[in-house]
Amino acid sequence: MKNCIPDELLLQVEKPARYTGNEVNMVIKDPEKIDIRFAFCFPDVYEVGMSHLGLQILYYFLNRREDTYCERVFAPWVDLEQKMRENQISLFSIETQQPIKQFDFVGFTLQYEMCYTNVLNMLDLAGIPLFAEQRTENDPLIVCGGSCAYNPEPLAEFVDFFYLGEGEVLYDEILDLYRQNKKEGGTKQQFLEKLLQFDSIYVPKYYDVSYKENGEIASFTPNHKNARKILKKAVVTDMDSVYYPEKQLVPLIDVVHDRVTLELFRGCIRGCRFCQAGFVYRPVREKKVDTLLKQAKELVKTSGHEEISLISLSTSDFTCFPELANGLLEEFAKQEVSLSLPSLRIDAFSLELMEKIQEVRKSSLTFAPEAGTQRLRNVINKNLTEEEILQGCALAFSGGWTRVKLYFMIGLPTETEQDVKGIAELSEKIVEKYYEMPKEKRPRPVQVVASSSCFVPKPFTPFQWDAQNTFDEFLEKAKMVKKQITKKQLKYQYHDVKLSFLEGVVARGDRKIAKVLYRAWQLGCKFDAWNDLFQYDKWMQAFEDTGVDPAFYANRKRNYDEILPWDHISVGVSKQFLMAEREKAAREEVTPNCRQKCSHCGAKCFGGGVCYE
Amino acid sequence: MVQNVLGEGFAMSEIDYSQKGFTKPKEHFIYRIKFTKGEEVKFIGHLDVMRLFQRAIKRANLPVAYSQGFNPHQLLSFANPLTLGTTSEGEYGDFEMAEKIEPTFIMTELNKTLPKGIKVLDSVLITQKTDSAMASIDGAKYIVFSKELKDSSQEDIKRYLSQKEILVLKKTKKNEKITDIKPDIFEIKKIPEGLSFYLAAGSRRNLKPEPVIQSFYNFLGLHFEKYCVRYHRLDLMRTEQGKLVGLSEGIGIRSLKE
Repeated sequence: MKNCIPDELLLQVEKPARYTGNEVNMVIKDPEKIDIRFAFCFPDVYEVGMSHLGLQILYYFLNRREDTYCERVFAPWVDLEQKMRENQISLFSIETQQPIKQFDFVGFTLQYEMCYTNVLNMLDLAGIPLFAEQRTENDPLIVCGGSCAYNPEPLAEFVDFFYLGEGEVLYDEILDLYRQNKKEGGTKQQFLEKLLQFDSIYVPKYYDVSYKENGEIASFTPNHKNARKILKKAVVTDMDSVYYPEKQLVPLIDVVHDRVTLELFRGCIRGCRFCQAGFVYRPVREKKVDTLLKQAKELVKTSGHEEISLISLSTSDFTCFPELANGLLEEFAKQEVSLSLPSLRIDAFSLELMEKIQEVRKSSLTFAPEAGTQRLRNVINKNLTEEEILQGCALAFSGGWTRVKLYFMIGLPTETEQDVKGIAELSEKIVEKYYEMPKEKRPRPVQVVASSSCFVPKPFTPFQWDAQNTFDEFLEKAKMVKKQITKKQLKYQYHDVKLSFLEGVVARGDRKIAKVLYRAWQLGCKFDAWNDLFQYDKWMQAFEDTGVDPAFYANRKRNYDEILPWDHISVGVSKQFLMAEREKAAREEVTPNCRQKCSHCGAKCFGGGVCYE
Repeated sequence: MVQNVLGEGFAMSEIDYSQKGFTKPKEHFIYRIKFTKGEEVKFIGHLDVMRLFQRAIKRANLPVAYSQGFNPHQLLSFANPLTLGTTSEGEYGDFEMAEKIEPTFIMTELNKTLPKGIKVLDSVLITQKTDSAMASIDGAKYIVFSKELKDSSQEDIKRYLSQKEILVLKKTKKNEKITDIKPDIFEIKKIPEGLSFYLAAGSRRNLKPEPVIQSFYNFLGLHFEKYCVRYHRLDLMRTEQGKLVGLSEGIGIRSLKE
């Protein structure tokens, strides 16, 4: 395959192999013999996109259809973008190296709000008009999915339709419908109308929004007779029979996560009140151990990877976790394949397991207490007590670990000065725990790194009505933690406040945010999640130029009766449940997890998973 | 020195392995592999090539040998790294296997699973005492593709090479140094695509083709456009009794029946 970018340009950019494909297990098809061409776009660089499990699954899922060719597209890094613009080269796919403007579908996966300017930039680089209403029959259909699509409104004006939920459920029907419509000579318009038959497809142009004088939504109504009032996400009910690729793309260059990824289950039983993933992916649906062992074997064989990573929101909650871990260890010990276990709870079993898989190399252990005091942990329903944290650390220390990372959030609802100081206090107690061990058991000084991120209220969480802390409040709190720290074995870091503020605006944004995104992109914003490229001043200018007040979205407390921009979408969990959870948070009451007791959140409506165990 | 069992001066018979506390070291078999790095993979780096082979070996299920210790890794070593963007049909690596298998088996099995652009051309079980692939190198042959040099003649080359010295500015990380590269140029020939080069290479003396072509452009008064010249490595050579031969020549066997 001849590269779209000539050699003399590729030689002048960083990591040219980002753009040349040819990975192991790349799907090769003859585009001439294909009915549907689908560009799967990841709005970030190659190394990030190639580490995303959803891309790997959907890539093979779509390509298993003979009539469809799904190709990958990544955001070119700024150096190549400049060369492309100078030489009038439009955005191309990795597989065939052809311009994506000629494709049938251009699909973006939305994993993070701060990649939205990249979505716009990629459309522009592709030569596709940004706004849906400016596009013609000759342009591809623009579709978005992924976890951020649950609040589609900020991108509504740019996108033809949003796919809400898990891709395996509806894409076959959608593509069949598309092919038939094309065969019958139907227009794009006609196809979009046909999409209204699906529960989980949102076509923004068939809905009208009006606003009150104070900026709140006055009404959100369908303007097409077939458009549903409420759309409902699509979920896979049987994780054992659902398609899972036997292969993975094996990149030829180093990427962020370069390993076999085994998805244990979807959803999370915990219901931490700040966590969007904990609600939008409900209910928990597990795979059987047999299924997983079979998939692991096949994936290792076809990829040649030296590491398997177990992926899920909370790995230790997998019901047959010991059986799975031991099964994998047994299978792969002789093959020099290692196990990596992110998001484990620290208990005796997991430490013993880590002991087994890591031999002597003891990397740091990570805990996520999220809040500094038990009171605030109850508010956010983080079912982790101080005793459990200290016990876990003591276990780890006696097992030879000397480095601990702690994740906290600042700016959580109801937070007091005591809670903020609690971050430092809890961290110092962990340091002290280390020195409770006899001297001969302490090979070196302990290193504790506490880091705090800024809380961003997200849609579909009990805190979706809450005001985010202001810039100054965040800074003040971070300083307060810093001041409280006395021990030199403890380091404290805090995340960028500016980026969290913008994330807060976009995450709960409505359609009016579109013009801000557009203006920010015009001003040159892109790769906002990349520290060195983030241009806060330009974003502020974009708000000013468009007359949109960012504080209205980030720092305003909403009433329960306000129409929220995502109210026409249902993730199964009801608004009543979220309100009840918010009230319980105020009373510092915890909610049991899904396996302890059903709290009737509403996710039972999908007819599967933990709700029926 | 690459040797098939233990280092020189280490006689296996001196150790009594029946004693407690000793495990007999495993015998390893070293294969020298010659492979291509084609258009499709010319932008991946040296470490990427190494990782790519590690995974291909796993997929091919070859009995590769692992290092001892807590972080076992495959015992592979590769010769002279290639500059990003340069293609080659003469790359080499030494692969250690824990079992003695047919050299051609390695070649056929790897070729079933390697990505496009990488193809094993030769596989030899090392039976002679020889240096590692990296340490063996004395020279490298290249083709240099250049539109501007289409009209240059053998006469130009002759004049260029008959200079008393050929000085170029060699840039290192810290400073710049003027060096005479003439002794490291073994041969330059005119071919239809451009030029063919035969240059010193390896750990003792190493000359990349770019400084040569740049100084030749300068000599002819042509403007040198760094990114418009393409390079292709034909082979890596080692000296055997004063003669230069390919790295996989004269070091072992291509079939266990030999």
